[in-house]
Amino acid sequence: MTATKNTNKQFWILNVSGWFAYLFFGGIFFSMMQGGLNLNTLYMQSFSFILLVFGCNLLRKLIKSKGLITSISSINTIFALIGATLLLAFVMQFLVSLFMMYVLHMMDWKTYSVRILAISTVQVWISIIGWTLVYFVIKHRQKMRLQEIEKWQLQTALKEAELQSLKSQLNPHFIFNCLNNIRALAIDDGEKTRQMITHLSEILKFMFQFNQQKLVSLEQENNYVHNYLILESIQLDDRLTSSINIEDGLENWQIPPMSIQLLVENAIKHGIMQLENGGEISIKVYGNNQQLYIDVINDGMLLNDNKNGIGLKNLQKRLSMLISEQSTLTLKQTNDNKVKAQLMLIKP
Amino acid sequence: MSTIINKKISAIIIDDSRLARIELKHLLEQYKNIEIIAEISTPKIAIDAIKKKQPDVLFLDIQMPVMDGFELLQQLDNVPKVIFVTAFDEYAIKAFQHNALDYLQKPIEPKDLSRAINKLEKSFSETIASDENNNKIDSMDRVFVKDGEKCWFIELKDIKYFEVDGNYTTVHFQGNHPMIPKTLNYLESRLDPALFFRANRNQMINIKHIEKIEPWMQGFRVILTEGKKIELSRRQTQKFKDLMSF
Repeated sequence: MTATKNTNKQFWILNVSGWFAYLFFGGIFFSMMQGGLNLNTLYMQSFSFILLVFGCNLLRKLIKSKGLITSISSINTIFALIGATLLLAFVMQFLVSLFMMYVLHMMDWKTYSVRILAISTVQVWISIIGWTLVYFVIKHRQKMRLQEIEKWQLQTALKEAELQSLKSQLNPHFIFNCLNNIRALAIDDGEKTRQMITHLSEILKFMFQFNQQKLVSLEQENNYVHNYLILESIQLDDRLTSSINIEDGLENWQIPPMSIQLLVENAIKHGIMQLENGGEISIKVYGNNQQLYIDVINDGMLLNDNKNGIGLKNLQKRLSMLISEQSTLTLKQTNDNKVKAQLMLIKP
Repeated sequence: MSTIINKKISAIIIDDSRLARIELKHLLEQYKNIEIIAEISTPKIAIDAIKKKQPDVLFLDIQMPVMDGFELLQQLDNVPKVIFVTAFDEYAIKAFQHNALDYLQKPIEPKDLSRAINKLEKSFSETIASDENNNKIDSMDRVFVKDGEKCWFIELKDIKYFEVDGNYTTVHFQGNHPMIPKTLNYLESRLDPALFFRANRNQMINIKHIEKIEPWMQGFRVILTEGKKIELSRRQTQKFKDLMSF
């Protein structure tokens, strides 16, 4: 709405000042030819000014209502424009002639001829065509700029939507299992129940507060994973042991939320869950300000079909969109019956 | 007769989470006619226990280590009544809903549990009543079949015939044709030969579903209910004659 208001204002400024300048200098030129300033010239130019300003406004309304800006390349549009401008020029020049005859008494029907009307019509016509060209150029540039802005907006929205769709979500299965376990604990262990509710609420807090962000600090993700592991070890009884080691000096690193959690979830689902007696998950985070390594190592065997999990693919895409193209996610079997998932983040 | 109906329903709980087992046991305490005869955390042990103890009903979790609940059921030659107990699991719920199987979602809503137990009690009193009237107990044996997203508990009496499909076998029953990952030879060795007869190399038929027997080429062919025609191989014809005693 404000955009239309602005272009409207812009139109009137340009329309009025353009025609004023045109007729002002035209008048000076005419006076110089006549050898002095004539009051009639002033009246004539003023009358023409009013006619041109409003006539061209009519022309603009026509162009707008017929949508001629977008169909400029069609023959019909060109003909319509030639016709309209010619008609406008003719009517205006005819009115100017009448003004000159009846108001200014500069001439009468006897001295008037079709030739004079034709010559002056063509003169005005050329200037109106000039106006039309300027109008089209300005409109076209406005449109290009708008399209450019829209393109950028669309690209940003697309990237945003893509990130949103790539985002990991906490598995509802996990939450309901937690609630079920907590309900069982409540039968005879009030203190532990309270602890577990605290861990679960920390998890939910992260989901609502931080998962909306593109990046979270390493510490926030670490807290989240810590809570997640405690709740999972309750679910799995004694079958899960875990450790987290984060090197000092990495406080400035920001990572996509739930990226370590996703690796841990995978390690449990495909690793620990497949072992009757369970196993261990160890998380190691190390590196420097430029490169960050996150290793999630679990007991178990790597099956080929795990490699193409959609969650991991999405994480890889998120890393390249949010950190850098060089960032990678690898999954491999190490020789001692362990599976290692490694995130390598490289700052651009 | 009333003493039979009042007989307790024996149940086995199978869930890898200790707390989940405690929780379910706690909820089941008020149902005095349900007797929990075992609580098991791993499917492998569960299979042996089910074979040995022959429970009336299983409370079965789906996501478990090594083998999931569906795979466990497929290992059983005779499946008791099953109430699936699982936390929200889109995939499993789809499978349950497809055939209106009984399932409870963790954490279990007491109302849902009571509805499931009522249904269970009702089906038991019906089974016992019908067992008394006509001796159908053999053909009540059921198997569990899972084919992609769908799953069924099939009563053996409803199976028309089995057919070889590579290393798999297609089960034809009530208009469904799921495939199971077992060979026909294996099935033949496990099923009652008085009920299922190997008609030829590729097909095994349910004798109770034979509608007509007619001469065909040098031997016989049988026509099953709803018109499926199956030829008997020359080798099997003599056995068939003996079985049918003519």
